Amino acid sequence: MDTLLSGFEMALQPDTVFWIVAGVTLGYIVGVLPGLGKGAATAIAIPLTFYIPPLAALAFLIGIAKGSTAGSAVSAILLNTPGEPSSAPTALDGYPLARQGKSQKALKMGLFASVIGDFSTTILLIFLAAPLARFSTLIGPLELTSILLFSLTFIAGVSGGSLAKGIISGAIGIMVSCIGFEIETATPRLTFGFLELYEGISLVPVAIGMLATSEMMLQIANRADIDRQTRMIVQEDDPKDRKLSWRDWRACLPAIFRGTVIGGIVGILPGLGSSVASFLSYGLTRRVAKDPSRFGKGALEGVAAAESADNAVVPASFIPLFAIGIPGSVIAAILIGAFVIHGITPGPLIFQDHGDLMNGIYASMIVASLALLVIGYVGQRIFSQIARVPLRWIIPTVMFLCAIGAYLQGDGIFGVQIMIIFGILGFFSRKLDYSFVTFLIGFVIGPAFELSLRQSIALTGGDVTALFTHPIALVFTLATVAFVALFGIATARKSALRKTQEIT
Amino acid sequence: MPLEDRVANAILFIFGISFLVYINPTFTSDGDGTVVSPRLLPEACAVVIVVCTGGLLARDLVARIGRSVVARADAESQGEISRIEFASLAAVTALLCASVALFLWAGPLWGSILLISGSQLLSGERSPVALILTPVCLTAGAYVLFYHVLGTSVA
Repeated sequence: MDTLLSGFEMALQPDTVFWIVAGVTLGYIVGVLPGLGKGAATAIAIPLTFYIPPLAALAFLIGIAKGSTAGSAVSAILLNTPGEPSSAPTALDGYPLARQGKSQKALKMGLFASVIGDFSTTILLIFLAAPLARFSTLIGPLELTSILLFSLTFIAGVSGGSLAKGIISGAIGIMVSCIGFEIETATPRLTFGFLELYEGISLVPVAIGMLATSEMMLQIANRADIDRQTRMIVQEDDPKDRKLSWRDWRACLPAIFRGTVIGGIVGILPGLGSSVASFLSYGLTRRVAKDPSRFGKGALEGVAAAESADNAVVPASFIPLFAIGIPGSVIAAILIGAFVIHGITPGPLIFQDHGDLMNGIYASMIVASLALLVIGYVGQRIFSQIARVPLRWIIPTVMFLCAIGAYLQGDGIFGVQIMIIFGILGFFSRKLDYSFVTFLIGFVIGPAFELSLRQSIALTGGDVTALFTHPIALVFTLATVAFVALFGIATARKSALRKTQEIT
Repeated sequence: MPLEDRVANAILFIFGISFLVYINPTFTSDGDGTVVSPRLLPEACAVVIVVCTGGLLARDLVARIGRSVVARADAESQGEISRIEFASLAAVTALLCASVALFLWAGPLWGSILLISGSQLLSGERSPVALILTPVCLTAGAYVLFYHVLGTSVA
């Protein structure tokens, strides 16, 4: 506790507070803009931190990550365009709520759920990171492979209407992640002679294409309906619908608690990320709900579940980063670069070599959580004005920002070309129910999955019975098989019932 | 199963087969004696795609056999992509490609202007003032944000 108090002394220095507030504000604004997620924002901001002291620099970047994670809910709720994949489940219920004139309510619940999730796992990080470093040897390649396989299969099942289509999407995602230099032999793989593909395909243009560009294509097609609905929001915006009642809180608190726990666990496990957490949390909340049919039509618990889990992942994903040096998320991976710039190597020795700095970072993260609450609450009215802006103003802005984001993070104009290709694929995946979320998760975890798979094969010599000597891996493998079997049985029953109804 | 769905499954099935037979062996080395071949994971993914799309196609075939002609025609007519959505896809793709071409040929400013103005037109904007002011404001805003606020360069 004393060490944390000394951390607050550093974090509450005026210049550090300034950078934290600047980071959260910038992150929130960037998060609100569709297609510009926390990864892009943090990466763009890294050059800014060259001339800032290490604590202020890292606090600034963490502030951006936290701010943009919470901010991405705004675009998901108001525009049905998630700032990043992890906000997709927020849009499932947030957008219908906005269409019903309850955008303020959805935004408030999204913000509070975000702050609770974020704050809780920041505390978890403070208490867990250092002790966990001692147990880091428990998760080996075999365990990681089985955990990643289970997560991908589960997401494939819950994120769309068909498990088979979800699995296909995940497989295509992993396949696309294989493009570029192969990790063991360093030979080009599936590059088709294009030099730009040797380094692989960057996540940002792929994500922007799949999520934002494809959404713009659909919004242009349906703009007349959407503009009419936007006008309806203005007419139906009842003052009662702007406030959160005690009834809303009572309905959402269990979802927030569940989301925080899921986000904390998923964040700790390397490679899973916030998309897995928000979808797991959303799916579970829908499953345990008394009336699951309300979900997708404007259930406030859906927003609370997704946002608490999404934001809980960010601090929790720093646990493996600080304890073992493994990035648990895209943002953690980008932060490694910032640590290295300031001469710090994340890993078990960080607590020994840079103890004071770590206390300062912990304290800064708590300050950033509070800043998130204040900025999000005060600025909410300004952000919600986007809902009243007609599509003909939003679409050109979003398209322009998408192109800039893809350009910056995707090796110049090649990134924009990648964005176009994945925009087209995203269009078809949305319309034909091939889960783009599973695709993106497959794409992100692909390299980690391949690495752990290779290590597992090398360690066991390809002997499947080796699973029996790794109980964690065995449990997750069996869970994957059971999930596929149960889902298959449920689908078969459903189609048999449909056939019977057709005959009668 | 709607027609678009069947076509998509068939395309993916053919893609999976051609990936296994031609694409992966041609564009990925076999690793030359390494413990795990670089082809392993992409190949495994292609197998998953072939099996799953094959399963979906087979299930559709079985369902079609069991259905009456009317029910079959009814299921097929429930298209998932409307004509206007296809038109929007084609228009946005054409706009983005034209913007990239103009970017490479004339520079980032002109590419950006075409992208913004084109998006405005596709979104239903017809006011000449808005069509002129929006590209100016957005490109100027991006310039200030990246070159002055963030202190980094775009192009």
